[in-house]
Amino acid sequence: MKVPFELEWMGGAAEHHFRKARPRTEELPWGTVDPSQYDPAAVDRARSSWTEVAINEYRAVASFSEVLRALVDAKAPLDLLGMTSDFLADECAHVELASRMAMELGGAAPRLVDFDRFTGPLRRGLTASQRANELVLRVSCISEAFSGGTATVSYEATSHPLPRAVYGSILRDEAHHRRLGGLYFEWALARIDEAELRRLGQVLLASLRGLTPFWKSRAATSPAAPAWSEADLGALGWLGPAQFAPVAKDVVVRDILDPLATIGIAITADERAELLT
Amino acid sequence: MLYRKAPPGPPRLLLRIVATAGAGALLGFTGCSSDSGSPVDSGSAVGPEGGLLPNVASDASDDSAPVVFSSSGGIMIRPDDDASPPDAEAGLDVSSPDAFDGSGDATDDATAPCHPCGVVVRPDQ
Repeated sequence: MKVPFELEWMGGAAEHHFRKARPRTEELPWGTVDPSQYDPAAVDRARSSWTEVAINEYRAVASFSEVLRALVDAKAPLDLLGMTSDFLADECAHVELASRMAMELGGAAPRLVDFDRFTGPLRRGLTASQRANELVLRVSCISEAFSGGTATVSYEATSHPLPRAVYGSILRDEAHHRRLGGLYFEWALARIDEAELRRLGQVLLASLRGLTPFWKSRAATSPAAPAWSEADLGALGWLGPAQFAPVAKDVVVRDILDPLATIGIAITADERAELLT
Repeated sequence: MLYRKAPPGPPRLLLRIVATAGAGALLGFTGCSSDSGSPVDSGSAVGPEGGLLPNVASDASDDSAPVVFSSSGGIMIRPDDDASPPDAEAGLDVSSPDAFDGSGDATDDATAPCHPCGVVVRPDQ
């Protein structure tokens, strides 16, 4: 069942403990965005985008929970488990930051989420190692690399101090989240045979095909000018479609395809061409 | 350990929906409802497995659209051979509740999908 996406905050002991774990949130310049100073249409788009970031960071809590469980099942090194455990609190902090950004801009945009279908498929019958391989690949090597790589460019274009500080805080954490994939495969690669590498190549291809609307959809390729000030939208944290699409493709090549190919997780030249054109 | 039957203070909403009638909200996303003021369900949206990125609505007529299912995060066990086809539901929608004539759906050419930045491109503009 789909439900509107809103989030509760308990306060008291729960907040106190969480603040001890992630103490810097209150240091950001909250209360400094004056939406009346920006094009109302840009403000609406920005708050929609920050709402969706909150949802996707909430999804990241679920994703890293599944990664952690898979690493436990695969008996990955304990310090790697501890590192991954820490990411869960990071992602909760990111949800808070994005939620507060949306609220600064006037409130969350209405979005429905089906929590029974919040997470994606994992084929039945995989071994513990295969589950870990696939989930680390999808979550750390692909999703975190894609969102982190593209967000770096959005961050550079963001002029208001609050969204810049939010970006900076999240990007600092996500650099570690991306590192997980490299560390995991350093440990696991010796246990991965050629057949599994080929399977992971197909997982890579499927995951990247899922992202192609970011550069292939009509919205991403339309030359039509948006109906709001791109400068104002940029100030609040978001690139226009004409700017974002090439960034997304560059990140896929530079931060995902090329690095993974060096450890044998690859797609064919034809698949790469189909993906990127 | 002290157990209470309710928290000493009521939880507050960290993230609260505010449906505005602002100009941006009035732009029609694909498949919006005419039921202004409440979130509605239609179309497909692609989001990352998690991370600092909003969603993009996939083109229903776009060959890339079906893989929307693979881009959502976490685990969902499905059978090997009878996996259901990718669903139009990606778990969340990018639809606006406001000012839509109710005739659109994910294939409606009148409004193109939103961009990762939330942009909705209207070909007539």
